[in-house]
Amino acid sequence: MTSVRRASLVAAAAACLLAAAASAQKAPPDYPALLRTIDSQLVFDEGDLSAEVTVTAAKLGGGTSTNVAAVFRRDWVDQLLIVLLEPAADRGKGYLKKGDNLWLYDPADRSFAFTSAKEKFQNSTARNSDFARSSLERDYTVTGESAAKLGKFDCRVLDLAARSDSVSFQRKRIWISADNLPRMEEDYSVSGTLLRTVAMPTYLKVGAKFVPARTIIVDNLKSKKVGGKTVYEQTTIDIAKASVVKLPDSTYSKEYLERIGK
Amino acid sequence: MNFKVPLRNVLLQRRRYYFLGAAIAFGFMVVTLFGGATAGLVESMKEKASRYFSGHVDVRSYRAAGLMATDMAPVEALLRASGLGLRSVARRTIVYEGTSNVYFGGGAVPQRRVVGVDFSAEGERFAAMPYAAGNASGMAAGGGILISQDCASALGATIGDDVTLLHQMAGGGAIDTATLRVRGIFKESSIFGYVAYASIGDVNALLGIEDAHATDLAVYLGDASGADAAAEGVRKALGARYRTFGPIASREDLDAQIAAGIGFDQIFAVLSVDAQMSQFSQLLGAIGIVTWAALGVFAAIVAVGISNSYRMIVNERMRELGTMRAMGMTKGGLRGMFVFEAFVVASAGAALGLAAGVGALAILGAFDLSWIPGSGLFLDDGRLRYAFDGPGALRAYAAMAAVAIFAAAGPAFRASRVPPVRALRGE
Repeated sequence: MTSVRRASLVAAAAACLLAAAASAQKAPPDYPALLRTIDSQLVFDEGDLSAEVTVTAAKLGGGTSTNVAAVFRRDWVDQLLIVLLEPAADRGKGYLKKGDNLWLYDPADRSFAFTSAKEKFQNSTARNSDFARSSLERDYTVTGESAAKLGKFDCRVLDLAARSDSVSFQRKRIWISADNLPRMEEDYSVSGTLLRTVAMPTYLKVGAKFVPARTIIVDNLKSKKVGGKTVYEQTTIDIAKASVVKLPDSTYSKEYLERIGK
Repeated sequence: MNFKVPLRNVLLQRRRYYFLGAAIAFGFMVVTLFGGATAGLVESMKEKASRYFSGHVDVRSYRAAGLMATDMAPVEALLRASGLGLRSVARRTIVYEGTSNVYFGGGAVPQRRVVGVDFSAEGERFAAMPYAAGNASGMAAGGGILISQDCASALGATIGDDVTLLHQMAGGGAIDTATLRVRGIFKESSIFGYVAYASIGDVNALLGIEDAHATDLAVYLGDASGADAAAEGVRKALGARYRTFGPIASREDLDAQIAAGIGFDQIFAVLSVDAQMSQFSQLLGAIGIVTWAALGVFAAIVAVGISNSYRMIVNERMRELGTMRAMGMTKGGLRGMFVFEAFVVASAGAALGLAAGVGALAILGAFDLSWIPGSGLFLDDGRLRYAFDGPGALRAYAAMAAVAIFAAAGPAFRASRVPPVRALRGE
């Protein structure tokens, strides 16, 4: 082999090595795309999600309240209908959400009260917005990432900052499992106080999408020591009978709530 | 006229005048009691209201979006230089909108409002607030919170405990929190109860407002009774440099002016404590009207009683009157003597009634009346604060004296017309 040919081979080999090294260096993660992917797993683009939810609120004083409700969700136009089935005293009460507007219906006096999606649901730790569609990409940007093991899940831990002050929790930390499903999130105030912790250990596959089979919401501001251990007020949301069907448009209307309330 | 004769007659005839004097004394006691109690209720309510509503005169800053925190330093300087005789001016940041809760021990208590106070300027106002525990000293340094007794009781919180104050912006917006130490637990109920006071720096930080900014200026006067006039003076002084709303008679009036349109530029609202409390002032006014109507009826009864009593007195003293007429006393002199006797009896009765009324107020003020529903609005630490209404007492005295004189004048006139001979015969 001539020296020129040898030099050419060495140069070519060096070039290959450099190219390999460059490709091995990771491109910055596309966080908006990641958040979009997470949302897309949870948002029903077509059809209506129907499910029965059981909301169990455990108070620190020892009492427990249970509400059973039918939930109907049409994500692509951001509409939501919740009709309470139990307890009997609240049967027929409902929530209707259309975009940013949320009404609470009381069949006792057949009245609609304008409320907020960010208000608490039936005096529990859950908020009305917890039943609505996921909107991580719309509301947040990613400010940091780390890795952690959460139970059996290897998770990416994303730190999120709200895009505007219209979002209740200005800072979040979410644990995303390898299947791009949120398994846990911590919600923080502006000043960094942990307000609540939400765990979603299991999911139901409904059609091509997912809904948390169980959601546990812990109010980190409401706690007390019991036997040397800190106990928090928490709410559990269990979903059953989930399905995706096309419902009539009239389902998401005040008239429908009034009809059911009768 | 010889005043010694009627004065001597009153002393000599005191047994006849006992009932009359007692009736007048009782009436004056009732007037003093009601007047003093009402004046005390108003004074107590205004003091609480001035603490709660931001001074005797509240200056608020608005812009198109609504209430707006702004740099109040130039406004403060303008008011201090205005020559209006304002006792003090202090910045406040008041959380009017959104939801605020105090968290502790696993519980949460919603607050009707959270008030950021410049304790270096308003410290003495809050030192005078009745406390179940702790006090306001140390609040100027920040990091502390004053909560009501009801709130502390619901949370199980006490002095030195660190509580979490949470605020969520109106419309379900951003949530922020602050950890503050309980420095004072004040005894306040009714609408003045579900409020928390913290330093203005802490509240500004909670709301994301610049440190030097404020939503309100709390203006205090030497005499709260001139709040309406002072508010108009402040409004005119501000109007020389800033946009202001028109005169505001009540909070409903302010709402109506806001609804009519604020415009984009900054505009100030000036409310007196009377305007803030207009609904309660109306209630007190109604109570006052009913009270004075009842007193009017009572005065009429007293007048009839006095008139009848004097008729009896005149009849019983007919011979005496005849003797005086026979000795040269004129008809006018006789009438004047009776009227002056009535005036002396009324004055003595009023003096006794005043003393009895003040005594009754002191006794009433010693009892804890907080068990009366809704009384927290008007009471001072559960007790009635009474005030001596000097002008009111003078008016009542003048009225009572006039009633007595008027009631005595009729019989005196008729007695003066009886011929001396008939009078001597006792007819």
